[in-house]
Amino acid sequence: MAEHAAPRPQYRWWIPAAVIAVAIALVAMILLNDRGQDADSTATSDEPGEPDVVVTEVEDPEQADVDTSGSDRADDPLADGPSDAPVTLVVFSDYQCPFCAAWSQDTLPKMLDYVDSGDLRIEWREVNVFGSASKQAAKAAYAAALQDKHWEFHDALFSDGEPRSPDELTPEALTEVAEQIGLDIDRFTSDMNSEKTAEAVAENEKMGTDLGAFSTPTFLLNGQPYVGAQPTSIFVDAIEEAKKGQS
Amino acid sequence: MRHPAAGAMILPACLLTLASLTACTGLDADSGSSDPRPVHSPAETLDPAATHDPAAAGTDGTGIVDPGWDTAAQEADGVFLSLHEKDSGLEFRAVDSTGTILWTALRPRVCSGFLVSESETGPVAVLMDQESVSNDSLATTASGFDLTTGKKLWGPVEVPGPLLGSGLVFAGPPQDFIGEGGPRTALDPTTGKRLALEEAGSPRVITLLGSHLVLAEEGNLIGQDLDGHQLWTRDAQDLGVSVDEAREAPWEAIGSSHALLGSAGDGQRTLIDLRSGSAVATGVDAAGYDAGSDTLVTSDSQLHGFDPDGTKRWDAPLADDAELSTVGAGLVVTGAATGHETNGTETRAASDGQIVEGRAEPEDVRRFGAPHHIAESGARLVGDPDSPLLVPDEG
Repeated sequence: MAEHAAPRPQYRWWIPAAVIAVAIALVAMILLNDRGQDADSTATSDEPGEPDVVVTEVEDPEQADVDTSGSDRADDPLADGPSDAPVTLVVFSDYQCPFCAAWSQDTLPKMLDYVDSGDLRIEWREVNVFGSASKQAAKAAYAAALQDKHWEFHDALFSDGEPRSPDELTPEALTEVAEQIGLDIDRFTSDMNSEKTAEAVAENEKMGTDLGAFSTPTFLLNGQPYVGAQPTSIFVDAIEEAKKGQS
Repeated sequence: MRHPAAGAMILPACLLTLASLTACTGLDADSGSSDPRPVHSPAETLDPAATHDPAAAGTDGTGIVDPGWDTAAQEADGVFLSLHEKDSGLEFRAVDSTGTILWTALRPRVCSGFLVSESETGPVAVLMDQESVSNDSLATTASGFDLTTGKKLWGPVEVPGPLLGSGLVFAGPPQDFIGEGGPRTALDPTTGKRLALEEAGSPRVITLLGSHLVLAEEGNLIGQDLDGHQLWTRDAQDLGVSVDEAREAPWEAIGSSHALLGSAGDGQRTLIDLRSGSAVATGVDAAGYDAGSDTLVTSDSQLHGFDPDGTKRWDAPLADDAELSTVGAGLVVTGAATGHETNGTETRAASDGQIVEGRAEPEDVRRFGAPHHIAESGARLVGDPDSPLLVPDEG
């Protein structure tokens, strides 16, 4: 993984684990139950905790999902918000996608309010399904993020809630944007063309493709997917609900 | 004492608990998608006040239909399809040439594209969707519907990514073996079956328009029909492009047997006969096809009419500030910002390129400028192409 590549979102791997655990427990329980009927039923009846243990395994799977903080989370330049925020929103986007631009204009500001209050961490992932111009823009945005200007650059690419056309996403056009927002151009150019940036962009793409997020925008909110640029209220409600679940 | 039936009750209880947990914590990609449902009611007509036309004030309506479309419409056999953006999703609306909404369908508000394609059984509307396939993954799918009835014809079929704008071709995420663009899949518009898939060492998928598939291999473009029969092979350079350029550039269907290769606005597009791979015209700005007179029309600094085999039929002048707006219903319509009568619109016969006299649009239509699409039925699209209005046919 590249130095600045972000960690993979934590999926609900505990679900199949829990299924297996419960299945094993159920088999064991049924066997024990059968044996108990054949042998010492009194002893079995004095073990009321057994089925409860099974239920506890299933009811408390979030314990397995809480520890999502990898050592490199704090180093992710495309993330904003505390790494221990109660809610994490992973956004899978594309710089040629009109609905990604619309969501950025309509809903992202409200999400950033949650970031400011420490309740939310946003991790931005470009999946670049619309081709080479999108990928070039993703590299440029990553380079801007390395100078702590990800959102300024992002806003410029989605100005007025509209994406740029491919001919406005050339290296030259993107460098003009970098100049306009006051980036160190030598460093920006170097970073935009570096192998590390290419690796990080590819790694971020892979997170989206591993999920199957080929239609953009798609979101993971604490591991729960949301497809499409849905109204702001949907995200607000989901965050508030997730906050309650964490408290 | 434990009841003997307790063990039997624990199993369903635990399964129920599991099912509940899975339901509330697994992937939930429910975004309100719905397949087409019949509507068969008239779309709203444009409010006369919206035209700012004093002559229209006080009238019942303009006769112009506003289906609420928020992106460019596609048309086949006189049925138009585009989408209306709602807060919660996208509503696709199919509207016939009289302005009747035939059906609507809901999809999530995502950038994945849609397509109206010809097929062996008639025009097909291909809509995309995103579905959960397991607890930790989503699948992008495509489904084909009868454009007129909305009846499902095939799908959902899992595809690697969004439509590319070069026919029924879907692009996956970038992979090393293929360079910057992702591997592509082409589907048969009639059945939804996969016709071509890019893999390491396989031919590249360039475009699939109607019944013509174009592949590329070792510098050559290869034309096939949908049964896999090779129709032609040609060095891509003969068409003025490299294979990579042919793969990246948009291909626009012109009628059912031709395609315009290249980006709009660069004046360097090539009109290609998909049956033979030959170039009908180069250095093209725009092109269209009139089915009634079986005429291909192109524009550069002039207008040109061709037989489908590429034989030149006629030339006609084109004003410096004019451009080809649309071809159809026997007409060739050009438009310009200023300097022409009827708001810069000029109409010629597609068959011979001669000016059509005495064919003036009503004032409330004319004020929107030249139509940018005409169906063979005569219904046409006017106004902003990204939020088009429909002028129903006069029959």
